[in-house]
Amino acid sequence: MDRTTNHPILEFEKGREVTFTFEGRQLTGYEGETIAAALHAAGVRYLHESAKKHRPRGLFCAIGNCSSCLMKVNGVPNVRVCVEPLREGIVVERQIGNEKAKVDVSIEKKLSDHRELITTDVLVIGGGPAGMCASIEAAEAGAEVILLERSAKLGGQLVKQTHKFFGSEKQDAGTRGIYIADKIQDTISSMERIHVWTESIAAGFYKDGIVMVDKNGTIEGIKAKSVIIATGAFEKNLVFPNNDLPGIYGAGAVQTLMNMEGVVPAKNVLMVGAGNIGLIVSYQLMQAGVNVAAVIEAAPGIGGYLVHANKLRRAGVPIMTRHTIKCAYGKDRVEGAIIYELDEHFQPIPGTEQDVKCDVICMAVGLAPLPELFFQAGCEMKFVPELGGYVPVIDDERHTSVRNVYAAGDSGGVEEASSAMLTGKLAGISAARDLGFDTGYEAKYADYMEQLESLRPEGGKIRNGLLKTKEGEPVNYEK
Amino acid sequence: MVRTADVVVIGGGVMGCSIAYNLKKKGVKRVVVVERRGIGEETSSACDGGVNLQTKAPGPALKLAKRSVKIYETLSQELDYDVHFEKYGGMVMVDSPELMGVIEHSVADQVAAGVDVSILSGDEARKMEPCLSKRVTAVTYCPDDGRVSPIYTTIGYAKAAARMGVEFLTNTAVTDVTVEDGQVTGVETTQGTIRAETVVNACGVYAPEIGRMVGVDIPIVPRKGNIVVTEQVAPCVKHNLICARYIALKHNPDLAKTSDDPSMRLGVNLFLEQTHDGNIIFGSNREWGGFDKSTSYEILCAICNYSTNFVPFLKELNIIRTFAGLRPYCEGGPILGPVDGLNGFVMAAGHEGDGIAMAPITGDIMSDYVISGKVTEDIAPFLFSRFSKK
Repeated sequence: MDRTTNHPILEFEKGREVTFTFEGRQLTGYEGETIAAALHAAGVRYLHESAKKHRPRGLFCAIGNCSSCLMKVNGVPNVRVCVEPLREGIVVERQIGNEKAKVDVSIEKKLSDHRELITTDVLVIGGGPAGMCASIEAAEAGAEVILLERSAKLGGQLVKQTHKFFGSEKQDAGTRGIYIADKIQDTISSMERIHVWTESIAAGFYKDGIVMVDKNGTIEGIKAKSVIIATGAFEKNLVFPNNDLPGIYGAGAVQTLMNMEGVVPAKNVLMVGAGNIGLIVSYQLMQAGVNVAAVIEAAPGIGGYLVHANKLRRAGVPIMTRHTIKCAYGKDRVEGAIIYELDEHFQPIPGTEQDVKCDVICMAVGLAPLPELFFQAGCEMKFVPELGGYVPVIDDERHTSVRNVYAAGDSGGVEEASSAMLTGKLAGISAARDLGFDTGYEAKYADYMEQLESLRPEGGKIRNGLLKTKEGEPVNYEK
Repeated sequence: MVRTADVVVIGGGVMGCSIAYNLKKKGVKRVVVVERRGIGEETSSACDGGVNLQTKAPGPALKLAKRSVKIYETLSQELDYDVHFEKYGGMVMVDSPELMGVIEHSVADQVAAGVDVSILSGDEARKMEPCLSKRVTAVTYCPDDGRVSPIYTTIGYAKAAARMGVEFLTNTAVTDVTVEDGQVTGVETTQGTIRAETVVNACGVYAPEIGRMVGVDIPIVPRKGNIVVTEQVAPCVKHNLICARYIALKHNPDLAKTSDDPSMRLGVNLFLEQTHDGNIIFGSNREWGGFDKSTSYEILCAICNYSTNFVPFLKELNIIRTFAGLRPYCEGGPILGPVDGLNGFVMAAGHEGDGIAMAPITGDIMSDYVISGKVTEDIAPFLFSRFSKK
């Protein structure tokens, strides 16, 4: 069983042990953990087959975004096992492609009648660091806030960050991400004006500013005076042969397994990407007892903080810049990868191939904002590679081009956790001030902007990206 | 850049593509389709695929619809492209005694017009279609109703037309239609001039824009409908299902204004069909909203609520997307054929909710008209001149 024991920082609280069936085999897991975690801990990587070519598939994002993990649970197909909790006695089966459920058409059930729209001052969509901080600022100023979070817990990516944060004292320097998350959540719990709806997905942003919410299976419509979109970002992948083999995971997925579920993701990992995420996750893997075979990075230099890189080097992990992945290989799961060197034009140098044996390839090649709600709200959008993809055109006060719609965190442009908290705070005070609440705006704005600027290196990627959101004609996608 | 053509078809939706295909098939040498966005990007891909005889008023429209269905029966082979046409029958569902009178009347008219339609009791209907709610007291059943994929039909026509040599200019807007001494001489577009003596206005809801270029006021108005699409499920709905109110509202829009029922006032009605891939597509409503294509939360909730009165199991399904389409509404049916005093300007737009059903026959009769110049009894009831008579 690949369960973590004696983690140097984390303790894992598990529910009671339960048994379940997978493809006719009896397995055990813990009640309440995800089915994917339980399967992974039992050594199962191959979750379903692709529709046409019957290729084996497994997890990728482990957060419910990518649909790579769809399985049949108790006869119901297309269940995202990476977010579905394990329960006693369930029957889990592989499916081929997207299976079409058989439906009992004789059910006589009607929808319940018209429900009134729910109104509030500020609706915050996304309960990660940006959304949580936005909610606190808005509520502190006097606004009633509804905070939506699609998963069962607040905290977003912050709850997986076991490393100590940098920055200034104001940014909780020296504190581990997980404890920052705890602190913020305690503040939220103490604020009556913040109504937290977990397991609630913003399913659509309709005209007249009505947001449709799937609140744990019930549809509600929220009409808020202002909406702060803080939906975060999703993991990218690279294109290479066999990039769909079970065992090729996004960095977030690896963190979820390790730091939230207490499941050892692998024995040997090839880390692709030496930005901060690649470096930090590599170190976290080592903390969880996993061997990191190598970190490869296509660029000539290491993108992340050298503090993290040096920790890896001291532990004997090779960091190979100017290298990328040629292909992955394995029968039904990753068994290794061929990597090769790139020249100064990013072209592969023949003859430099190396075989790296590994059972997980971790893709830390960048995030892209989750922009759907901005598009639906009619915000002007721009494609800015430096910020990860499509971003809303915003000003320094976090206004989008649509009145009373604000952007906070990575969904407004991928930066990092500390920036997310600050842009969240900025969105919160802007939204509250625009509604007429007294926020002590001037002082807070100056403080938060100063902190944010200090996080953004001069002439760096983020600053260039932000300039691009302002120049030129934005793309306005007609519905 | 200056091109020359025999016919310019403005509009690359299902009508424009069907007309262009038929023109080329019947021997017209140079046919160019000018489409402002992409093939089928407007109404043709924002609708359901119902091909129903039961919903057509007896008369010229029904006659054309029957011939259109005949064309659909072999269209996939003809275009060498599977348009997913299936004729599995349709049911108009009655759930209130008041509607029964209207329905009996309408069935009698249809039978007299040669439509194979009969009234079944709710129980008889449920034997054939188990998903019907017990609230449904009766249905009118027509075995000749069915569905097609509107998108594949549009693409199928376009590909076949292109194979035969029709030129498609997409992402190209017509900026003017040039006329000299009452004769069309061509079009100006964002990709240059096309000289032609015949121009077909197949722009659906945007037909009035082209009309304004030649000083003609075309009374086609967008009538929006919201549509819901569910996840793909195993085959479970065997017929097109339409509520009786759909028929009533389509032919008498004023009913909506005076009703006590809020969903009726929103113009909510129900059609429902299961696609070839297993999605259930249903809707809808009728509203005058200009050219705005956004869906409305309130209306979508009303549609979902209303639908479960007839097909309760829908409550168990996940909705994967919603969208709105703009039907080109025109009083009295589509506008087909010439416009007096404007030689070479041919109308082919305004089919409201019948566009998909009528696309094959419209392509057929409009290409005949363009080639022969003769106004036959097919087109005569739909001429533009009926408006100036008012």
